[in-house]
Amino acid sequence: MKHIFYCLILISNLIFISCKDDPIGEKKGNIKFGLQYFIDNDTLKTDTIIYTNAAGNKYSINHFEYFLSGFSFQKNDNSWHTTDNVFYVNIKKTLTNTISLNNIPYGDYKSVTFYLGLDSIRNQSNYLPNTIENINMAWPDAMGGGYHFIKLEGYFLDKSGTKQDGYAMHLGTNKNLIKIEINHPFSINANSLDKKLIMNINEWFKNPLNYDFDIDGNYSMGVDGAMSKLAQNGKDLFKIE
Amino acid sequence: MKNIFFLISALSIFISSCKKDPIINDKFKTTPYIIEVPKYFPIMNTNPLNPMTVEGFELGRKLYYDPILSNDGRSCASCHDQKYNFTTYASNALVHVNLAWNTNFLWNGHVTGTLEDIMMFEVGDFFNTDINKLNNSNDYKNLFKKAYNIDKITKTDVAYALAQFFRARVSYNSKFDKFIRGETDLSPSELNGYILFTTEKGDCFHCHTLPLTSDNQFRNIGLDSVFEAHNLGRYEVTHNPLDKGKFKVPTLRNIEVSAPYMHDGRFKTLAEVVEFYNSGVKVSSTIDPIMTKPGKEYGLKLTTKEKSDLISFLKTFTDTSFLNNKAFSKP
Repeated sequence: MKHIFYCLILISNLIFISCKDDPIGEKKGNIKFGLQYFIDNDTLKTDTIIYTNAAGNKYSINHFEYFLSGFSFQKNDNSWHTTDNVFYVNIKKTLTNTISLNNIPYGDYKSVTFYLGLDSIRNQSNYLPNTIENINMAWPDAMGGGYHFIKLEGYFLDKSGTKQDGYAMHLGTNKNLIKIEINHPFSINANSLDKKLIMNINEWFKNPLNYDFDIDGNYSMGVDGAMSKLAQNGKDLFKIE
Repeated sequence: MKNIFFLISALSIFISSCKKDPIINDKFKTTPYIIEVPKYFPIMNTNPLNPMTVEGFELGRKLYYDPILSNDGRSCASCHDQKYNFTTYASNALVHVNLAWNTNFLWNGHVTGTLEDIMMFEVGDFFNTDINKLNNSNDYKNLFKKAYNIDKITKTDVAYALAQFFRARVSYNSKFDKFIRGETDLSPSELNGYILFTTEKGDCFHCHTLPLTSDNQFRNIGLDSVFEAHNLGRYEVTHNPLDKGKFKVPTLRNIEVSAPYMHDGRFKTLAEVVEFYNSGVKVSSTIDPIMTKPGKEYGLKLTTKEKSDLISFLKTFTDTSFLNNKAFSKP
């Protein structure tokens, strides 16, 4: 009888713990984003020169890694829930293309905002854990420190279609931080929510400013004008489905 | 009721007897091997299936220096001499230093994965090790028993022991490291070289990412403009034309003693290497865009002093405590 009593206490404790209430009783749930990549209407296929940007450059995507951070969710009552997570993403590393955000209060939401890159608090040398990926994204101290926000690399053909060259679109420094704002209604409840976070890579090269490899250059790092164009174009990269 | 109890008990005994008993051997004990890694290094790639032990490390070390692995009298050390950063001039083999952080191996990335994976390639494809020779050696049978508690040695066991010796060889006591740790200053020339290395002017940092000095990627740095059998590089693995002429970015750790340089050893001195980057870059369709930035399409255009400063900085990667570490020498 005594054993049954202890078992009941244990079970009731487990049930209590499994309820995701915080100390004031607010229930919290999770949202998971699966990152997907398109070039306009086509699913991305890497390492082949088959895409065309708004300026008319035919190009490929061979290497693309970046940071997402500062996810915030706006409820229908206009209150915000903010998060601290930083996510390293590499399009060729499958595991990095699923990101999960936990402990989001139950409720109905209307929009999501986040940064492509790291805000000024996080964009400091050695802020992130010393993973090999984070270290490879470092922005040297001699150039101000912090991290690359993106490294987007591939090849392109000039307008005549005869000369092939490489391109390296690197972006960093606080002034080029990209804030993404997406209006998208969703609800957080007991069921984990799965969403697609879809990037149209061609948006890097258009809207509002066309980026032309032949004119704007094939290398952005240290070129303020090129990085500024990429940063302005970046705000419309994503949609949620 | 009593009968049911006995029936359940009997059934339990039957089910239990179907399971394999775990190997319990109180006599098998290994000593953990701790690899020292400074805080500013990346988190090391380890393999939970092959935890570091003193016994495993020492066994891997013995195998590394033993021609028993090959069928022609060579050992790993024949082409990988410690005093030359575990390479030799004649072989121009890739150096064995800080490989624990690598996931791409060999100049064209023919093998990817862990150190255990590349060691499987070395034991199997490269040396074609005759495993019977090891199984006929009482010495090795005892050592493998102590390290892995096995009675019959397989190629996988050999690869695992070698991987431990590779994983442990970490170089982190060069002048550069001491500078990073605030234990010493760089000379004015070295410091200027450091700034050239880590800014757009020299632009070494994009590929030779600090502190490991390699981003573990494949790049065409403009050594050639025509690609044939000897210099196809990464293309040999992927068969993607965009990979022609790309080779693995090598580490610069102990570069001062690791001559000759490049995948084919075409440069004999660091001065020749820097001069190539300065004025000898050959443009091709797969060249890395970092090599052809506006105004620097064929080289960095450094002054004589800047080239000298860059070489001074490269020499700060020399780690004599690693090159002379008796724990890594022939047992």
